[in-house]
Amino acid sequence: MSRTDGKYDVAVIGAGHAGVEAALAPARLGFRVLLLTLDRLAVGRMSCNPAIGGLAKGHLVREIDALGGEMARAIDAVGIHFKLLNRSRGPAVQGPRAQADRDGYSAYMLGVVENEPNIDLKDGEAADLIVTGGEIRGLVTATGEKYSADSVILTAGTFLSAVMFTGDRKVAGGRRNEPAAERLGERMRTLGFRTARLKTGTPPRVRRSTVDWSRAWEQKPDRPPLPFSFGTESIDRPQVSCWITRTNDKTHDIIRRNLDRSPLFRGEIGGAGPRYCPSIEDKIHRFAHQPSHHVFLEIEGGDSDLVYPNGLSTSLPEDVQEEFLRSIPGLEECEMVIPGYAVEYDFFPSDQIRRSLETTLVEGLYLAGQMNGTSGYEEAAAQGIMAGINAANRCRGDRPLVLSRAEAYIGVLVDDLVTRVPREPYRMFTSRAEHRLILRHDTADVRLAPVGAALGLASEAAARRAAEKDRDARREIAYLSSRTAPFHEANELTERLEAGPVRPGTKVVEILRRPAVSYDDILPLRDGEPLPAPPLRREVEVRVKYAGYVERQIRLVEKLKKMENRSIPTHFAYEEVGGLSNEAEEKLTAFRPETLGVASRIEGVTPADVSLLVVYLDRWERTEELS
Amino acid sequence: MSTILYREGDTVVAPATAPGVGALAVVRISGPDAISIADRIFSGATPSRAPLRTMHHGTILSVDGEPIDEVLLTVFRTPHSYTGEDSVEISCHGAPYLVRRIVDRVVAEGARLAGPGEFTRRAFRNGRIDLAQAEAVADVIQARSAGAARSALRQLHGGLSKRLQSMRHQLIDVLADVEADLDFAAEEEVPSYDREAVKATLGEVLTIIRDLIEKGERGRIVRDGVRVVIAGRPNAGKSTLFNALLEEDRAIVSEEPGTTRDVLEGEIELGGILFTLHDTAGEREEATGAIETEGIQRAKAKQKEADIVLRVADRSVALTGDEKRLARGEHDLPRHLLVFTKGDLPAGPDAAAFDDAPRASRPLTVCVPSGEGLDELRADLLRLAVGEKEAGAGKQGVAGDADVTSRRHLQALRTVERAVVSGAATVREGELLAEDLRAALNGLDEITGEGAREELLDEIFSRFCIGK
Repeated sequence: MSRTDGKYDVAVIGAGHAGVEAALAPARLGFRVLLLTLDRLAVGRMSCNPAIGGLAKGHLVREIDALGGEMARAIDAVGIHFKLLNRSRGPAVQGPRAQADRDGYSAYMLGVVENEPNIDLKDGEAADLIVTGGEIRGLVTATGEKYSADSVILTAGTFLSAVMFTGDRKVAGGRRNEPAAERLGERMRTLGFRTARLKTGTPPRVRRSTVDWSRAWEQKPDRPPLPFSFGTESIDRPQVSCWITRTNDKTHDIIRRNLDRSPLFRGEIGGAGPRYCPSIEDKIHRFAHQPSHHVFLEIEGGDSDLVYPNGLSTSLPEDVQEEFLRSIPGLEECEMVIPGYAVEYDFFPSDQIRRSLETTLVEGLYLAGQMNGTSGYEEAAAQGIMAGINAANRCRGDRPLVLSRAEAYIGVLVDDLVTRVPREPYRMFTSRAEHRLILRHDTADVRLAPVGAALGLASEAAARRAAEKDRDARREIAYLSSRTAPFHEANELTERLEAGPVRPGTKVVEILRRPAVSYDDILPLRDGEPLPAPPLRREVEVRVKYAGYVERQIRLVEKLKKMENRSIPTHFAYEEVGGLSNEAEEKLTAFRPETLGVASRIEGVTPADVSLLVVYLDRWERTEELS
Repeated sequence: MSTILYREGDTVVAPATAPGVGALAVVRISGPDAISIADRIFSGATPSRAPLRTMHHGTILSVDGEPIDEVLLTVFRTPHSYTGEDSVEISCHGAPYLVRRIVDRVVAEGARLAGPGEFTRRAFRNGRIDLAQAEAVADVIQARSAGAARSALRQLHGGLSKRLQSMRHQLIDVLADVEADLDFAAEEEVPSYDREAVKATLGEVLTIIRDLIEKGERGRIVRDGVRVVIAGRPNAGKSTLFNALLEEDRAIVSEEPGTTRDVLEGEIELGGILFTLHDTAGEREEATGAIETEGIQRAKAKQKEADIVLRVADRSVALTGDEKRLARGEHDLPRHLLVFTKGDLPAGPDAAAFDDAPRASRPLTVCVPSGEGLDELRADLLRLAVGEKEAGAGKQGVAGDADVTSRRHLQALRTVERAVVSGAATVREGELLAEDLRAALNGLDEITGEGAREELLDEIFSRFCIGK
């Protein structure tokens, strides 16, 4: 490189939810980071729903926190409506969610980034990537500045060749009033990367002062709110309610009448949208029998004059949006401030990345976030922190950090991406995690704080707290397992709770295991042993109730470990394996799975194909040894 | 460097019939060179020009052109063969040395000796059969009686796979409802799953699973045979009865108690089913030495593994408390049968008490010298092994409808059963129900191979003998 405007260890392109975490991780590990954004006011911007978390997504956020990321702390600082979802269901499927002060969230993230001495935040568009010998060397901006970097993390979100649709109006751009990134996409294609199209959308925003709140049903936040971060003591921001209203016949009529004006229905959008988050026109078209859909009216911030009507994502023309909004109770007089739109964008089919999120084509180039086909701030941030960690590990000459499916939702996310290309924007669900019971949101610290601390990203103190929590729970369970329940009291208790009779000599833990019995019920069965703190009691209760299932999962994980971790050489010649189905050969060649476990999960790869791989791997290794 | 190894699968050869002297044996060659090798060693027709699946009479020649054996040769072309590859089957005379010479001749032409289960592995790999079918093939090979071969063949036709598939779909449907509730009900308007409907579906699945297990247990007996352990006090006549059932003098019989010290084995066939009889040392407190003590230990161990314990009591002497309880049917031991011996001697006071009892609640008395009671005993053993209905069905009927006979399949089905029972008990707690449903599905997948793993495949394929 002849001339450079700066030399960095890691350069991150894009400062959304993925980009921020991708920049912070290596910076906090002591590496020099360039964070390049089209607009510094858009750092950490919430382009759609002003909320963080939700089922499975909340898990991701707490895992990011345990590893030493920022997202949980940010939402704890600016959250205005915290709610633990699925409270009536089991602990493994509960998930924290919080509405954020939208502007406060970006401002918080900008502050964190600006205060991180190892990050240079620069405004600019990345126009070119410098690649020599298949390895990344740096980037060039649209205005010609040249930066060298050992690793580059691309987190361009929905901005690559993005087009926004509102009715028949079509505008190039990834977000309202923000331009698309055209040149970078072109450059990636010349490097050999394949792209495909996906679609997403957002609802219109209405003016808060024009909503008639008396016509909507109030939903109060949790008191006290449960923080996301394991390090947050308490939530200090004033909390607001959320309101629920519903669409009706009139709304549906208006939409139905105007379906032909929707770019989705006119077939102008080719990319697949998320089935779990359909536009309102989609809902009305596909579930025609349903007379009404609910709409959450979410305030965008304490001082904000905007309301986000969650559930009304649309790409209908502005006049139709206005008309149907006003058919909804509470919104009759509302002013629509910003219209909703659909956005279609390029993503890189995820068979082009490894489990480290490094691309298979260019060494040192990482892809994270929506451009890998995912959707959601949390999914993006999870990839961001992993790409950041792995870029740092690459600088240090360490092996990439790969979390397993049994270890973290983040592991599930990355593994899913490297085994199948998303056909719709990929969102995390708890059902994607086959080890769901051992991946509770409130154990993310026990699972991952040691990993974060070992990296040097999470604090030793956090890891110690997690270890203490785990140890105390184990100690209490050991006590309950050794303590024989006093016969008389135990029977009195189980009779009262209709939890079945107790035989003499029964241990207290056996009684707690019964579905009808909670930890507080067994308090009289303890002796003088010091009582654990309330959060720990809950933890003990959950562990005891899940024990049988959890042991089974752990056994399964152990059983599969041998195959799971058997590595497949990067240069392994699938085309020389006789007998693989065409589909399997094609997919394996595209994905280049790093282990047999990953290979076995690739779509279209059957057990027969896996057994063949085993046979040929044996031979391959023998031959390699000989030569 | 390794290209040659991989570009084409190599060609393998092995006898496809069990070793030993039989009238005929089959040598199978499979792989890309199978037919060209046949061209070089066979005089009669030119296999490479032979139409698909045709049989040709001719001679296998040695390297020097000397005839080795007169054979029938069948040509199969990919994918229409057992392995899905080009194959040749040579039916030769059954003498082991002829078989060996033919195999050696094929190897000399460049083929490799097939490893255990390699033909089936190739068939599985080429998508010719699924895992359940591959297992069934192992069972056919290991079949030791007519009934076993029948039930293994049934499975080979994919009937089992079909039933498992439909159960799988039922479970997946339920799981989908449950997961939707867990993942979406909090945020979206998704109805909760219907607990009663879930229970009903699980009930249906359980009925099918239990039916498969029950028939499978019988099927396993058909395949592995019934292990009968003859037990009783010293000098009760165990060895005499053992010899009589075997219709040969295998055990040394003497008046002296404690003559039998080790466990003796013999096989008989009843109703198409193989029964392995184990004659054991008599149980007594005052064993006379280390060898007898060890013999008694072994006898006890054998009883634990037994499908049927045939307890023998000498009717001419006083019965022990255990024997009396057994005789009166007052026990909860499965598959225990008490039989009185020495029917030619006068009954002692304890045994005489049963003389007036109806046949159903009276122990059978046998008299070996006259042969009295032996046929009845055989019928009782068969009934105990396979149940009243099956035993009545005669030779053809037993276990004709067993779908699952392999130990691994039965084990997996029991996993499914446990998971379904557990799921039905926890329908209120969705995340645990989902866990159970997944465990049940994993269990089913273990049979059909959809969740097959390396160790599993190793285990299956290592059970094949060379040739199939």
